[in-house]
Amino acid sequence: MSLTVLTPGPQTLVQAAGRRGQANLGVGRSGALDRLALEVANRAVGNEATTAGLEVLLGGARLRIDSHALIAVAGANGDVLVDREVMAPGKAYEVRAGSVVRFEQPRVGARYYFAVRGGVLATEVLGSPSWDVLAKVGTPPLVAGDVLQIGYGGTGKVNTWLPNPLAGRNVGHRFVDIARGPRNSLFSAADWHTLVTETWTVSPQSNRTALRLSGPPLSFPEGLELPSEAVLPGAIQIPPDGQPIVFLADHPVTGGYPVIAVVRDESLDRLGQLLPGQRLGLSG
Amino acid sequence: MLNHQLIAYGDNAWLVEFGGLADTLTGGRLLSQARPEAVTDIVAGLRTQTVCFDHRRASRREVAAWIAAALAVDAPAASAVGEEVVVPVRYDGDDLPAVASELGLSVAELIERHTGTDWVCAFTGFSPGFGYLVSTGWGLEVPRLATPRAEVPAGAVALAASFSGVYPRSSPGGWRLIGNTDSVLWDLAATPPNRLAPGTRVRFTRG
Repeated sequence: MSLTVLTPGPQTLVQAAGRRGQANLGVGRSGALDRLALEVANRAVGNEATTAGLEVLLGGARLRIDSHALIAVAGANGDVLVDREVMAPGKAYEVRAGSVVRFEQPRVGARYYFAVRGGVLATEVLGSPSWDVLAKVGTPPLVAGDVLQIGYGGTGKVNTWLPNPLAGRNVGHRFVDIARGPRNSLFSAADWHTLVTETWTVSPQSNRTALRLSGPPLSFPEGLELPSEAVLPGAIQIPPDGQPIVFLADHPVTGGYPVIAVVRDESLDRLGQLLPGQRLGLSG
Repeated sequence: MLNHQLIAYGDNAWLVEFGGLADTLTGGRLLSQARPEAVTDIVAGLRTQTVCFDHRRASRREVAAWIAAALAVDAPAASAVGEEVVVPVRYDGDDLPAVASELGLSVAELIERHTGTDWVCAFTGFSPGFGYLVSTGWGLEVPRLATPRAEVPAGAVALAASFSGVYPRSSPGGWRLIGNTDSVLWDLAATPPNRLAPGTRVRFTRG
């Protein structure tokens, strides 16, 4: 059983839970940016929450399902069509061989998650097929003509329904919750106030590694030479130019700039649905 | 008993700060042994070890108590432990003459100092398999390139700040290149794929 990538659109990646315990190798976590959306799609087809699926950035991708299969999508709010039918997020669709899935430009959000019962079978590197754009390990970004095998099984009940995180929203999430970070004491109360009251703009230099935010510069502590230390998903680092960098799944393992705050774990998934030009508030 | 300080790092981690490099390396080794199930990784830094855990499986306080207990153990200094890796180097890097000159050394003196001191991998990052090497006997500071090279070959031996390192794969890079090695430092077909890990000792030789 297989599916063929007719066109990958801007970026289609195999993503699952990611990796743990690989810091010694210099490899970070990776995995689906919107973990909840991957879970919604997976549970709809009776997979485990983190069974490998496809993370599809924006619109344009087309897949052909080459065998009878059960599929689902979740994540961005937009039209994903299987043949001529618009797929409701979080619902399982039984498709015949030759069915084509087409991802249209999202109305809200950035990434769709595509799941197939049995999961996508792809090259595992260091225990996971998830592609890390920084470390460059995992199944490489998909290109036109790529054929992915589909696993047998999936033992869960079909249509275990979970609400899609962006369901019913006309606008994306505007806020994430943050906590003070390990180097918060290096910054002034005024800097913290700026961080949590400003409405930041997601810059074009944003990707799976980090969202770079534009706004009034925070004050980088003068003369600071911080010994390199861990960078974790959700860490908000302030570099010399004072513009916050919010690290995501494909984070570097260590870094030398101070982490002023950390995005709370339950808010992290939302960051994967933001696009350059969108605005974000950091609540802390 | 290692002096250390715990600082919260988000919902799922504790940053553990030590007084110096030796304590940091020893602390890393102690924390990496007998980790409870809920602890998912120990991330080494130059003066810190970050203990990552699953907050659904263990509370922050429980993990803090485990850290304190793990670090209370008497242990031999980290420098006595850890595998030694010998890296033969052809000292023919493009930046070698300039770096020597900046440091007020002849090329021969610079090579002598690089090969004549014991290095240890303090932490990783930048690229899989890349180890930031430090040495108490080095004592030199080398500025990075103002503009990084678009491509540095795999096996390039380099210096930046007070570190030395070897590029495990071809990549962009801002470090100053002093030589090349045929040693393979990153190989996904090998177990483990990385030759260097925090605590690994390294010696450079002319070869």
